[in-house]
Amino acid sequence: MRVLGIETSCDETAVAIYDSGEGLLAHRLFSQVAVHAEYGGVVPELASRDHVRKLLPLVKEVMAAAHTTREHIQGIAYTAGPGLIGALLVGACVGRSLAYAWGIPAVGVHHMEGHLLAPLLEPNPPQFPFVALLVSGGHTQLVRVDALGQYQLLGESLDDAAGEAFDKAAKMLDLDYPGGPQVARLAQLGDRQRFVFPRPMTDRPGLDFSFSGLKTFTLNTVAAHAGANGLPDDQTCADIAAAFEEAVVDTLVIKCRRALEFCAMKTLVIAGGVSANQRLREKLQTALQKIGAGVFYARPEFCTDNGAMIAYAGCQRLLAQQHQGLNVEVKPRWPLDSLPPLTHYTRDS
Amino acid sequence: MTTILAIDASTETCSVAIMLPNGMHEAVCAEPRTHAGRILPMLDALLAEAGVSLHQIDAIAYGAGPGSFTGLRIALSLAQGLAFGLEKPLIPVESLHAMAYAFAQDPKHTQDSVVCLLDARMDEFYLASFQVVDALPQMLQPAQLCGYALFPQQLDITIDASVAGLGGGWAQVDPELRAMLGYCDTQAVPLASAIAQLGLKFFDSGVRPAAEQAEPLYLRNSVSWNKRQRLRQPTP
Ligand SMILES: Nc1ncnc2c1ncn2[C@@H]1O[C@H](COP(=O)(O)OP(=O)(O)OP(=O)(O)O)[C@@H](O)[C@H]1O
Ligand SMILES: [Mg+2]
Repeated sequence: MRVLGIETSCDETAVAIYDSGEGLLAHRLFSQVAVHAEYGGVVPELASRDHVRKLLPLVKEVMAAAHTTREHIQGIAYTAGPGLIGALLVGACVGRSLAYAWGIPAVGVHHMEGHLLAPLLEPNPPQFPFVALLVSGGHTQLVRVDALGQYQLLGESLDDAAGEAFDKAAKMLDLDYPGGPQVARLAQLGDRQRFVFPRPMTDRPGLDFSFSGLKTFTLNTVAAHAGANGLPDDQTCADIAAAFEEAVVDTLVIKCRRALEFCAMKTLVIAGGVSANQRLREKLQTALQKIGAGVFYARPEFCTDNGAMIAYAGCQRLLAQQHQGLNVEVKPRWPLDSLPPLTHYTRDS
Repeated sequence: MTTILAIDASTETCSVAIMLPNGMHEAVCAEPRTHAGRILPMLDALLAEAGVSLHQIDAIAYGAGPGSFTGLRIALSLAQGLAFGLEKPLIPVESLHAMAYAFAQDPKHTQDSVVCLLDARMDEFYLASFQVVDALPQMLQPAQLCGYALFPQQLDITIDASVAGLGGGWAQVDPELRAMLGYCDTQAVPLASAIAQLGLKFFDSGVRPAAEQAEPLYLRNSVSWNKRQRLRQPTP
């Protein structure tokens, strides 16, 4: 089955074509980073406007790149939530009506299921069951995944998501939005021992997270070393970035190991924007090796929002005959564990 | 022998129309915040009622605005998917123009000019005025924002019995001023049937925009969102 996937839940317009027999055929993305940079965060109205402008040209481009004409497309998948309602509506309305015009089925995909399944697009995909860490701009969740479509929430952030914490730390260090990659880059120049930041909620049992205290700690450290321009010197900024990254990474590693032990599983999948973080990948690798477990992740471009993950997840749901009616529905909030199970599953060949 | 499909969601009312050479089929839903869920099912039922298939449609017209930003995007995105999928032109029709058109076409109406006024929130109206010539509205003042406090000064015409006032904005205007109108309908909204008729006129005059060129007429382009927003909603 060949599926066109559309992602417009936040600030990236992304489209891809996935074929259950042939694999991923093409994917393209328009990033709105430049649109939102001057606001220091995503402005929902501007995001929605830009999706309208970019979506159809991107669909055309992807179809051409995949050497696919409309006759070859057998289903359309679009992100139906969670996300910004106005942004979701653009992709959902275009996707649903396009499927109607082409006389093919459509399905609304859960954005986090998309992230979670993205590592399955890689050449050496993880086998079920596994524990998934979803770490992105809006989510930090540990999920038990017994099979495709069977998700059980083990723990989550009680306040800020890890990606959000990265973005806020970046702002404190006067780095551009989105801050995660910038903090990570700066951290490479820093001394990881000079400051020691807390590892929130690691000293008590449980699989929940909290990152807002870390934010305050970062702010206080920046203030304590600030010079006349309100910022510490360059080396101190790098040292703070390194301390911050170490604290987030260690916290995630501790909870991931705990979740694997709790579920008695040996496979961890990390997904979402923060799973692109090199330090997190390295430290997880080392920590999990010690307990005979392995970690799987997607290529960096499929860690952040992309169309490929939506085409892939949508294809699995369409193969299981899960179709959306003509009524377009989007869900700004949508718990992952409320998804219907998937009975059918074909492995990417 | 042209068949036009029209969609509007620029206000709290949404509507779909199919205009055939021998008649108009229209469905209207006045329930706010349900437009995305309603429009395609309404269209599907209309096609069955009219006995035509999607592929018989020659062009798609949409209510381009001004109006609710989200509503404009719902109508446009649905229309874009259809137009792109069916490889048909996608024709913008201004919402206030469609209101004036429906008024002017009705032979019972005798006023020479029309002032359309929709509430744009943030203490502003969307305003446009038209002169009625041979049952057609000709634009006097193009669609624009007008502060509550600048109405009616911003209006180029004088309000008297030769003027018709259309749209919910008039409900917020000083009743004494409203009483000077020759006709007033505060319930008037843009409807897909009028959009289809205007769409056909544009189509016949050679207007054939591609689906990906379409954009809503927002009118408001920067002031309202210089406030920083949360990056994402917190985890549910
Ligand atoms: N190398 C990196 N290190 C740390 N954080 C990163 C890195 N790359 C991206 N991020 C962070 O990932 C987030 C973006 O990820 P993603 O696009 O998955 O999130 P989102 O779509 O905004 O949120 P969600 O998927 O939860 O709805 C941003 O917060 C960004 O700072
Ligand atoms: Mg995401």
